[in-house]
Amino acid sequence: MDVPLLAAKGLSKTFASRGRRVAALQDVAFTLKRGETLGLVGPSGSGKSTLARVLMRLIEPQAGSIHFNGDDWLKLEGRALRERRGAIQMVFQDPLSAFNPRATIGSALAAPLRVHGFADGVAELLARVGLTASLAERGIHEVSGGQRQRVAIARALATRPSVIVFDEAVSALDASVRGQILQLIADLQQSEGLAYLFVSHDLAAVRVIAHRIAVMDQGRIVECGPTQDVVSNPQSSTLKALVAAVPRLRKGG
Amino acid sequence: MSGNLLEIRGLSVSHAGAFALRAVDLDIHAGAKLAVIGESGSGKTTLALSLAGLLPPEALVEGRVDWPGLDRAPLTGRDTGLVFQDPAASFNPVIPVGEQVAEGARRHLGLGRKAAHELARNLLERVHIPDPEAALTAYVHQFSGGQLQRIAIAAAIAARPRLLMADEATSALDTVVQASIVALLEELVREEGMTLVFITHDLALASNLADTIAVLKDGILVETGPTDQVLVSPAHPYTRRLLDAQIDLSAPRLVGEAC
Repeated sequence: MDVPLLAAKGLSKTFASRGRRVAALQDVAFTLKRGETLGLVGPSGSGKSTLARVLMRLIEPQAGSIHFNGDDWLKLEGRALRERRGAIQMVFQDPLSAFNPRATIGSALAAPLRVHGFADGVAELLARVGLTASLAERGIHEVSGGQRQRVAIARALATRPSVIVFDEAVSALDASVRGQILQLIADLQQSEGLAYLFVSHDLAAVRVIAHRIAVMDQGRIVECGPTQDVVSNPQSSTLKALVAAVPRLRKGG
Repeated sequence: MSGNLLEIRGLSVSHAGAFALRAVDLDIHAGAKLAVIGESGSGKTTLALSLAGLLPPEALVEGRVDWPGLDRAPLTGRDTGLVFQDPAASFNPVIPVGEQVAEGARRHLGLGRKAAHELARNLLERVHIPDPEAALTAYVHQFSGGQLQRIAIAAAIAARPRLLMADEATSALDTVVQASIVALLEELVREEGMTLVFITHDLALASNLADTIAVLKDGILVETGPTDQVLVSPAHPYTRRLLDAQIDLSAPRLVGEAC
């Protein structure tokens, strides 16, 4: 299929900040195919999270369009938006602040299933992210950071999305857990054909998971291409700085 | 410089019966750059708080932390400077940062208002804050995360402590800013002759900074040694696991090329 699942064009968004106008997005365009991961990298303040939030319909851009699954995504309103909104889900950096702190894992997963009228159960969702059903009774704060991020992924899966946006979703995890979560994310894509927008400042993690990489700086995509090509031969000063800043294990010398 | 700045002997810390540290023995050489590696719940922050004298009163402490070169009890802020992960939470939001940077020096070095102001300006310059004079009267919310971490470092070194501890001080920053903060710590430690304890979960970051690495797991110090030795021939399987879990630009990819 050559028609992309999602195509964004001309996205622009300006915020007013302390009397200055800050262009968070300037004429941003990208596409996402079914089963593909686009890595979005850039320093803090480059506009990555704004782009993710525009995609989620949490922020309205001043200009631009997104075509998604046959819909003019930014034009959807009211009931039509509510019905389709579950098709794009998001996983955040800090799962602890992304859940109701008093929720059990079971209730946090049951809510989106009920709202979107799906009959599959909590146990099934937990199994898909490699957790046992017995965890459902535990509180969100009672499990480890890695398990919590698995629950966040399970909740994202609950509405049967075709796109998941990961915003720094592995950045706060311990090194030994980070690899396992990246593996889970890759496996889910393989088995379910999900498309991902994987947003991070951590180029090393993005390189592992993304088919293509887009580099953002000051609201613009300054470089874009297949992961290996882009990382091994960075063109923009932004990407060169990101490549240089990846901590390398220094053994001897 | 030679000798030990700190000698930790049989240090155990527990909270309500749960051990955060168990029988830790560790010498920290004066002038060393020690990285303490640990994941969530390893006890690394408890170790930092123990050394800084900042454990909560209800914590049960056994064992000793000796400062051989010091003929009095160590003073928090005077002998130890501490930098935390979230600099915004380390400052009072309604007091200009200049006053807070110099607070340690006023208290411990007995500086007057004017001398403290002068010192704060010099410190901000030292940590490469642009226009330090203007920064003195600015508030926390007016700085970026990276700038604020520089200011937190300035405050930590204000009373010229012998020991500077950074507890996940770069973890919340993006990789480019993180590299610049590590470079700043290195520069300060070299030029001021301080001893550095750099607490992190990031082995690669530690390998670029530290001459000694200590690995904590579940409150137990499982391995200590020169950086090269620990990285090339780790003695403990947990260290080996951490090394294997490293993701850098040569890590195997989990997906194919553009689909």
